[in-house]
Amino acid sequence: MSDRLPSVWYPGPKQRTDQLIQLRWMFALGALLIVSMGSLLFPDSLPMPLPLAVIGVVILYNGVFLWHAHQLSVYQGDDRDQRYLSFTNVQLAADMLALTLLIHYTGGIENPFYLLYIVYVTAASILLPRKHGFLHASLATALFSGLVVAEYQGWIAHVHLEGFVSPERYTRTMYIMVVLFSMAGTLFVCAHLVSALADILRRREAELLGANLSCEVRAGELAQLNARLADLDKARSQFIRLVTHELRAPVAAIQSYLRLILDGYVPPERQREIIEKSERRAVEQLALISDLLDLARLQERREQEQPVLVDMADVLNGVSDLMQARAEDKDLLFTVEIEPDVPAVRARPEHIKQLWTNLISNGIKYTEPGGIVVVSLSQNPKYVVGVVRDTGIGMTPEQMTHLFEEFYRTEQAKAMERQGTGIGLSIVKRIIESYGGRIWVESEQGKGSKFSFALPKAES
Amino acid sequence: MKSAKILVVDDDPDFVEAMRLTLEPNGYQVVSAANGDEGMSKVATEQPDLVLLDVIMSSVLDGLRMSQRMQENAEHRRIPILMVTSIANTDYASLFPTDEYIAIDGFLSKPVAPAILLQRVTELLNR
Repeated sequence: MSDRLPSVWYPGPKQRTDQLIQLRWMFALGALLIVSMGSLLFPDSLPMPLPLAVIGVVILYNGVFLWHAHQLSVYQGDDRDQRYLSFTNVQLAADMLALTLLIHYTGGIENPFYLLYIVYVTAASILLPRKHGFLHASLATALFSGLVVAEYQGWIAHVHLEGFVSPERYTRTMYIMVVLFSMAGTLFVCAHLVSALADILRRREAELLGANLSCEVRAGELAQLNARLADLDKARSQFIRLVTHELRAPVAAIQSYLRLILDGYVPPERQREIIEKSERRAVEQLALISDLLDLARLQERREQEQPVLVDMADVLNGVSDLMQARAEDKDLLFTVEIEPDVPAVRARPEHIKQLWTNLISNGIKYTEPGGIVVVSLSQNPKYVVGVVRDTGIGMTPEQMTHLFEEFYRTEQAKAMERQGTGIGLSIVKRIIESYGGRIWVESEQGKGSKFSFALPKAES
Repeated sequence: MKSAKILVVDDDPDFVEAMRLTLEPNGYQVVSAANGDEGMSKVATEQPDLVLLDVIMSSVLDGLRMSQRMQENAEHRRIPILMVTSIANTDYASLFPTDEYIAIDGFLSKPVAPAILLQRVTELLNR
């Protein structure tokens, strides 16, 4: 798992690399000091130029690392993390090699600074994924064992620190084996403990990061929800302002007329006419209020009033009996075509009644005398389909887009019929949609309109 | 003096009627329009001396838009506009653009008392 999390290394690949390079300057300085002190302590036994040369090489390659770190910090490729990983591996390996050489030139197994391998393995286990920690432990063990064995075998010269420990120590098989064994053991235990700890830390960090991320996602969702609520609230207050305006208009008209009569602006012979106009506005106001109540009731959607099975044909017959008289008054041809065996829908009966009433009375209202209003009821596999068609004033495509908005009435509709609240169709639409149905309209100005709706059949 | 001609632009015929009842006995000639577009063409053909303008007609800001269109024409800009609307003081306040944007000469709230209307009309015509 840790292999997949290089991007969450703490404190981040770039900062870590910079730290390593900085530490290496200090290491070089410290090594220089220690070697100088060593040369004072063992003036005859230390081959001074060689350890100094190693330290020089360390300083040199650290310069190269510094340059490469700069290159990497501006690198933008996808494999950036992978490159940082390799870079860290190379740095630590180079350091271990340099340490091995330094130890070789300063006494080999006699030099207690071989403990520094532990520091390297610890660093590798912290900085790199788990298996890399073990790789570096193996490398350290191999380098140190190689050195000790090579000196023991006489393949390379051994540097003896005069007067520090007994000169034959590096040839004592038992001693060497115990040192190498304990060293290897220490290194692997160290790699295991440290990388396990580092793993836990990385996982915690990843979890924290994930938690942060999901918090951000939640915050985003909340913000969206908030924005939607704000939109709804805005639409709602706009609607209320519109309602207020619509409610004020008739009252303002009535009040104006009454004031004119009271103040003597209306000649006696016209007073009756003006009072009749006022009365008409009062009737209009009542109709508006009752439509608004219908609308409000629809919005409340009282759950306890369960829909029942409604026979669409029954309701349509009832409504068309009432409408027949109105159509005849206007000299309209009014026909109702009902297919046999149209199934029931699940709804509240008063809703279905209102839906037919609003659609048919619109058809009658906006059709000139002599015209035709045809109502039909049929079915398709899933839906019960109702159609109200008229040869009335019709609408332009632009007007059709506003058709279902509350209070919207076309100029032609206003010119033809003073009475009208502009809410009827909006109620129809709400009813149909509340039962999972759809309504659509086809119309041509001056030719007529066709309102069609589909309501889902009740499952039997 | 030739009687002043007043254009009433309002989509409520009863309001137009009320304006007629108020203005005609006082010697004004009244013409009317039901929306902003019709109002603009009446402004051109009738050349009224004053416009009484409703705010909310076919669309919410129809009246405001008509007053702005009148401002764009050098000749129509001179015609005083008296806005008469059922907008209450606060109801629609947020719908209004900034004050300098509304090119009107006076503002009355519906319903208008006949005496006050006549007084404002006289003031604007004698300006």
